[in-house]
Amino acid sequence: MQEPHETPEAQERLEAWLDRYTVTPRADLEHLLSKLPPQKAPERASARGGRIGSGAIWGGLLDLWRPAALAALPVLLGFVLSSALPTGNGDRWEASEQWVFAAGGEGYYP
Amino acid sequence: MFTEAEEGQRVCQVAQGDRQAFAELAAYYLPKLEQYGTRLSGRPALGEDLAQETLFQLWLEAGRFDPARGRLSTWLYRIARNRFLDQQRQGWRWLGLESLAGRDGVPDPELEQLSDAREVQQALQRLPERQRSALLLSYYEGLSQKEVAQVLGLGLRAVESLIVRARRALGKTLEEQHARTP
Repeated sequence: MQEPHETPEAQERLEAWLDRYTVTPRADLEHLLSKLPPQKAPERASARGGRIGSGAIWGGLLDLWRPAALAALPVLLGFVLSSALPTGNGDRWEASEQWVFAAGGEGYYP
Repeated sequence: MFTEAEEGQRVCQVAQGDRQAFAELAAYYLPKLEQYGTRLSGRPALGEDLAQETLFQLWLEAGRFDPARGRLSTWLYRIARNRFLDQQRQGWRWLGLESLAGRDGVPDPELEQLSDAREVQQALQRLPERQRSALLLSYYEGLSQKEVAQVLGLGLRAVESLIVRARRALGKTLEEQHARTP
């Protein structure tokens, strides 16, 4: 059993109501264009346009040094520490002596 | 009306700061977005603001448009709807609605003259937002159900169901209103 608002006639009336709900656009294109905010700076590559060869390649390479330096930092730190800290087997006692004195200890010779 | 290729080309130009390409896209989409925003919010002033804010976003973020994920129209309607939902959550504060004639509870004067339109507007406003959006996008904006699904971020079946329920609820409300008023 169809509800009264589901009959074909009711569907036609619904379409007619929907069609009568018209909206007249009021926005002004010129006004919109006059209010355009400044765009963000274009891609770095194009900002460097005119540099040697392709600006995009140079821009990309120059951008690589930061993450590369960050990635290398733990490795460098590990290398410095491993050469400064005592190894415990006595073969680098000079380094361990320096480390103990530097840390404010009394110093010892392993 | 643009083809997909023409739209894609213009969006690329907009991303490079081409104002002429933006003006061409805006001339086509500004009235459409305003109509959608007005019907979605029930307030012409808000519709105008939503359309302008959506096109500002196109101007600023054209580089983020991915044609592989859908047409420009679906991207813009999606932005407009998201802005509408954001503003609704914020209680319309940032738009400074205190100064607008069509603020909450006060009907727009233009719509006052069109009682049928006002009835439909009021009935639409009673629908849950998803049903309303699905109906508006398919009926007034002429989007396919697949495109509506992209705008709403839903599956095709869910959209079909939303549109059926929206039409049913809207028809019922309008029939009841007319039964009460001879």
